[in-house]
Amino acid sequence: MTEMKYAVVCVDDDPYILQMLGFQLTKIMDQECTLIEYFTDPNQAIENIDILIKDEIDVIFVMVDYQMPKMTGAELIRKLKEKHPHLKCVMLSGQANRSSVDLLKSENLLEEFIEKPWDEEALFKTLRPFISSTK
Amino acid sequence: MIRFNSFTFQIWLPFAFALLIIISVAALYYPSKQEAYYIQNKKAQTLELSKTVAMNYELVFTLADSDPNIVFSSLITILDFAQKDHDIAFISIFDDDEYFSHRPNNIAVNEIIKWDSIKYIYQTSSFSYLDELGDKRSGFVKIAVSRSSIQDEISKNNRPIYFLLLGLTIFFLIAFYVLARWISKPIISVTNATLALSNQDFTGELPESNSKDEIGLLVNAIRGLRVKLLDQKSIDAQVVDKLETLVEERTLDLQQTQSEFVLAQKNAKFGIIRYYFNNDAWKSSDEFDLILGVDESVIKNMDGLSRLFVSHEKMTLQDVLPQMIENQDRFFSSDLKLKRLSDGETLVLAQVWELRYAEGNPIELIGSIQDITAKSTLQEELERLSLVAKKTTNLVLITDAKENITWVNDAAIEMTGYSREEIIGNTPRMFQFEKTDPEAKKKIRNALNEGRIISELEIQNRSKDGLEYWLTINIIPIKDENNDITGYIAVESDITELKRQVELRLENEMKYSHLLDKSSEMIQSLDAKGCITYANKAWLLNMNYESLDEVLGKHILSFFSDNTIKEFAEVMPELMKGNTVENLQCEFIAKDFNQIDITGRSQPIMENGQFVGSQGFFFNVTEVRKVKIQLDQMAKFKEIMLEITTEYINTPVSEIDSVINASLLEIAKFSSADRAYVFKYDYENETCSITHEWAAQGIRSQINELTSMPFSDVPYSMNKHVKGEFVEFPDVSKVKDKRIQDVLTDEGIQSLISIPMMDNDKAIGFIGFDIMKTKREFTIDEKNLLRIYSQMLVNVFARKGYIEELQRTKAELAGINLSLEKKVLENTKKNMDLTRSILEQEKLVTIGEISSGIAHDLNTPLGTIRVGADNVNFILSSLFNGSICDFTKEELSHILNHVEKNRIEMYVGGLQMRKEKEQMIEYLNGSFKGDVPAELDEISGLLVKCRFNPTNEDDIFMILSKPFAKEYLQIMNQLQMAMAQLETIRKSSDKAVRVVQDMRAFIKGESAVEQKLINLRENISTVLGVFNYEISLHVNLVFEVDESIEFMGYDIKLFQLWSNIVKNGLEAMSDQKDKYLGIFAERSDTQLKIVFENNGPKIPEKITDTIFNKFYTTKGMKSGSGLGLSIVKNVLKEHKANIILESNESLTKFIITFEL
Amino acid sequence: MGFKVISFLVLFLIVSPISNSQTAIIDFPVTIIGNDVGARSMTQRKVKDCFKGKYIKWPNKNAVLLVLPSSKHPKAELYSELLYNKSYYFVKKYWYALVFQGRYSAPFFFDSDAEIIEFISKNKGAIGMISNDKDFSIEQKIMIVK
Repeated sequence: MTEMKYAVVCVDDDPYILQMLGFQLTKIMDQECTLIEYFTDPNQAIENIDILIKDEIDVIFVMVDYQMPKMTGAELIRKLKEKHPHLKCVMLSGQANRSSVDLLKSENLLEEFIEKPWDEEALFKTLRPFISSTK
Repeated sequence: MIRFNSFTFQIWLPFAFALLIIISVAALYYPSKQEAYYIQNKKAQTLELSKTVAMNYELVFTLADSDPNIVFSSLITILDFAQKDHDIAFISIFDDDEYFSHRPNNIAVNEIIKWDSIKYIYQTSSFSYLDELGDKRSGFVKIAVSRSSIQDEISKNNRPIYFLLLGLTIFFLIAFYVLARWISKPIISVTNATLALSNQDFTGELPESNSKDEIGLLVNAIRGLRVKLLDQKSIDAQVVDKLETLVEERTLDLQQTQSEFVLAQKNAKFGIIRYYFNNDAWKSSDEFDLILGVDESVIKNMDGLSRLFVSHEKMTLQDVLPQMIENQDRFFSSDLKLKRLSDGETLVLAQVWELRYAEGNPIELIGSIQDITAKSTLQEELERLSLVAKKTTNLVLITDAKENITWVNDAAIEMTGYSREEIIGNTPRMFQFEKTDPEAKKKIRNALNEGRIISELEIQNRSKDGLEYWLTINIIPIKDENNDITGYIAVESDITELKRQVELRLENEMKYSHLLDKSSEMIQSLDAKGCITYANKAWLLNMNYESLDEVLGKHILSFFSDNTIKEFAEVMPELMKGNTVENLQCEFIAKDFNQIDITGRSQPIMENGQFVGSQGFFFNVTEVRKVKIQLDQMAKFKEIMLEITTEYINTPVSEIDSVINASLLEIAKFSSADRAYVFKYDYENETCSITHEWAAQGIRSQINELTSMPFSDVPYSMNKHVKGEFVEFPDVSKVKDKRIQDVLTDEGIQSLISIPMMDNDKAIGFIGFDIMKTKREFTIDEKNLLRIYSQMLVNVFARKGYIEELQRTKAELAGINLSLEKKVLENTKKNMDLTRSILEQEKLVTIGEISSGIAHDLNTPLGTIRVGADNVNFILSSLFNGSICDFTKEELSHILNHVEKNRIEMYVGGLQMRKEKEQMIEYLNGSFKGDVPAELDEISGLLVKCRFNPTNEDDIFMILSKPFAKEYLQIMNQLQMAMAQLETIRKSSDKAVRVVQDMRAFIKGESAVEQKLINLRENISTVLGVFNYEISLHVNLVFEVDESIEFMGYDIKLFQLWSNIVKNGLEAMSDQKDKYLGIFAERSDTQLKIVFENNGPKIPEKITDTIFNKFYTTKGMKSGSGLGLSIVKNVLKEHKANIILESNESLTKFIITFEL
Repeated sequence: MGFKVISFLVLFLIVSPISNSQTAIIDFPVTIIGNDVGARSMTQRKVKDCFKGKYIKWPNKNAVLLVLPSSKHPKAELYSELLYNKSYYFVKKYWYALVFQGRYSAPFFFDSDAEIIEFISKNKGAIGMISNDKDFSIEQKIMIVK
């Protein structure tokens, strides 16, 4: 357990997306020391993030889908940021409300925004800064 | 409350003062005494203590018999005692050169040694003992008592006493005050009572006291006093009243006396004067003024007095007064003859003077004078008379026996115009002139000669200036004692005016009777019996009599008609009572037996209240009556006209002609015509035609003949009519134009009149009246009326024309309307097309709105597919670039097999993975039957990734035994991943297809013209599919529609229906967290009921009606054109269904009912 | 009588110089006994200080109760000498002064060793001197140590 120093959390109500995302992330992450967690339930995600942080594992970023049934991505990010202000959040969405995205960005809650469907290259480019900061 | 000069205070003060002094003294004295006592006590006490301590100390050293225990215990007792006494500062023992002290209060050392008498009181006791060597040692015990502590204690002890004293003091002060007040109360009340009495106030309450002490006596005395004072007061009042009455009486008496006195003075011709020396002024009585002729101009001082008269005698006041004063005489009286300067009269006065002195100086002079001028009564009387005579306005002449005027008064002079000198000496005849009545002159002569009195004789005189005047003369002979005539007095009054008046009156009377005569009123005078005494010219004229003689004396009844006779019977009594009777309407019979109508009044002539005759004033109103009849006729004609006009106005066009005919009848009757007709002029054809006619019975109608008569036939009429003039032949036989006369006579027409009908200046026709029976001439008024009638007809014809015009126009309009309707129909069709296109638009809008949802729905699977494809690409490339070629086909197929059988789960989280990895490591390390592999960590990871767990021991063993186990596992993992990706791709594309299918079904073309069998559930599901994305977000969907429900309908239209309702519901709930959408269907034999409900906000009642109107939207510009729910309504209409909207706070329901 | 006096004087003479040079208690057939005084041995210095009234309480918080011979005690002078290097007269004076000044509570005076022993046995914290030849429990003995 102590080897794992970093973690990345993905939250999306569509499990297929999670799978895709996970696969892609494994390509760019150092799997030896980075945990990749997937959640369809945002509440579960919040719980687990708490645990990770308590165990002093550095959560590099959280990828969040906008449209989710239980709560929107924006709400989730807000909740996370309340507890862990330094958590970096990236939003994924096929149909995000531009204005709420801008709002989140202006409040410094959102680091990046990626539109679905995404290009692998684009994804890596966006995420690279987060990952490189850990190395 | 406390007045410092009050009695109460004065009583209280000494007490208070004394008390305060006592208390102060006590307060000061006591403590010091106490202190001394206390100190003494303390000293004694301390002395004892010191002795005890000393003894105790000695005991320590007494020979070995003493028990130290006893000594020490007694020491402790002493010390305890000392401890309790707070005043003891310290106890010290001085033993030769040693000392020690018991210091209960921690006193400083030097304090112990010194002797400070100010601070402490000391008590000492000495001791001595033998030391161990047998030497005598001595010392003393010193106890110091702190003075200050003593003082503190004393004051502490004293404090409550002080407070008590203070309290007592205050209490006693107050008590004393109350006592003082109580004591002084009676005195105060007595004082107040006395004050009241002295102020005449008897109303206040008096104190009472039954005690026999001084206060009591005083109180009672005051009470008694008040009673007496009251009595006295009432007595005084009575006395005052009496006095007042007396005084009044006296005053009255005095006044009376005074007036009597004045009167007496007057009578006695007694005048009084009072002169005051100090201001040189006098006051005089009226009589005095009269006697001496004093008026306002006289200055009432001594000088002025002397100017009043002149006297040659030496008995005047001025002469006598100085002497009197010198001699201090008081009285002076004498007779004095003087000449009064005011009028020069000589008087004889009796004067009495009294001089009053003060201190030898004269201050007042009282004088009384009496006029004792002796005059013969007669002379006096004469004088008076002459005064009268002088002043009278009547002429007074006095002549001697020879009729020569000796005296004449002013009035006579004025009247006659002659001067006194001219008159005196002449006879009165000088005033007479030619007009003077000789008869009167004769009468005078005779009377004079006979010595008779002439009274009230009228005579006319002339003044010097020629003014003629009338007089009434009264002449009285003056006889002396012997009865001889010595003269005459003539008194004459001016009756010129009177005479004039009489003449005037006569004149007036004459004029009056002249007037009566001239008046157009018929005036008659009857005597008491009713016989004519006078009748004026008018009366005679009207009655056709030549002269008054013919009727004079005849009884009025003979001129009355029968009716009037009856009236007369009623009128007469009234007259006899003396009342004027007005408004008589009578009929008189004239001389020629014509009846004339009379109206007028009759008034009685009363003499001394008796009826002596009557006078009647009448008017012949026969003519008037006639005129009235005519006027009535005119009025009636006007009425007829009015009726006719009204009829014309109200009559519909079609009936006008008959109305015109009827009116002709009326007018004809009025005109006494036998035939009436209306002709119209046709200027184009130059003909005239009869249009309306009325003919009396038996009279020939011309209506059929006289049509299209050329103008040339009636030149005369044309001529006249064109100018707007009437054609009238009052007497046909007199008509000059022979031709016309012939024509008319042939007809039998005696009179004819025709009136042109003028439309502005054009004669459009004429109205004619033929009179067969008589010769009728029409008066101006009648002609005017006829003109009016003709005008009316003109108007009527005009109106008819207008109405016909109107009808024509109406017909035109009807035609226009028809064409308009056609246009409207066309437009309506266009509208419907428009509506249809709007519906299309709505559909598009709906599509647009849901498209975003669709886009998302499509986007996700597409994205996934894309990524999946990328991933597979990646995997495959890495596979084939990697070590796949190192494996045999068998091995690869094994891998594939495994992979196919063991599809990896969707995702496994890192934590779980790690846990499993740990377990794997432990397993491998532990119970794994094989060797623990090198690269344990990596291998375990891979195994876990390939979803191997400790139960798959055989597989694991098999794989691990391979040389390239790691690579093997890697390939397996990759393949698994690839499979998973491909699975994902497939699933996503399925999802996309579904979305598109739903869309297509929704957008499908316009072929929805036929009804077909609809499966309700499928139909609604399609729509739900379209909204899937939106519904999936937080919407709790309850979709309970039985799949067996089928009915006929237009599926596309129903799509629109459901989608509109669902969309509206979703939008209504868009602001909520918990959204609920329920769809239920119920089918009965006759009805299909579908309910769409949502938990959106309540729709207000007033909107529920309008919500189905076109373009009504609550959603604003950007979402929806407002057509949605109206479309719903239309669709429902087409399906013969209706919708009910029920909305409350929790649930909004759309209930759609289809009739099957 | 005379012998007694002489012996006493001799003793006194012998003792005095010795006492002037701080007579050691150990040298004499006396024992210090105490009851629950917190130690089984004391230095001579300590003993003397105790008896001078230096301590109010023992380490075990028992109050110090000093027991001294009364004037009737036969060995009063000896004990005074040993404990105070002073005569009984001075001891009395000393103690009066102390008590008078309120600096110490009064010691307990007894006429005989037997009474002393009895008192000490009955009272915790009591300390006193007796002659060796008396009966006392071994526990009461306080060893004088260096």
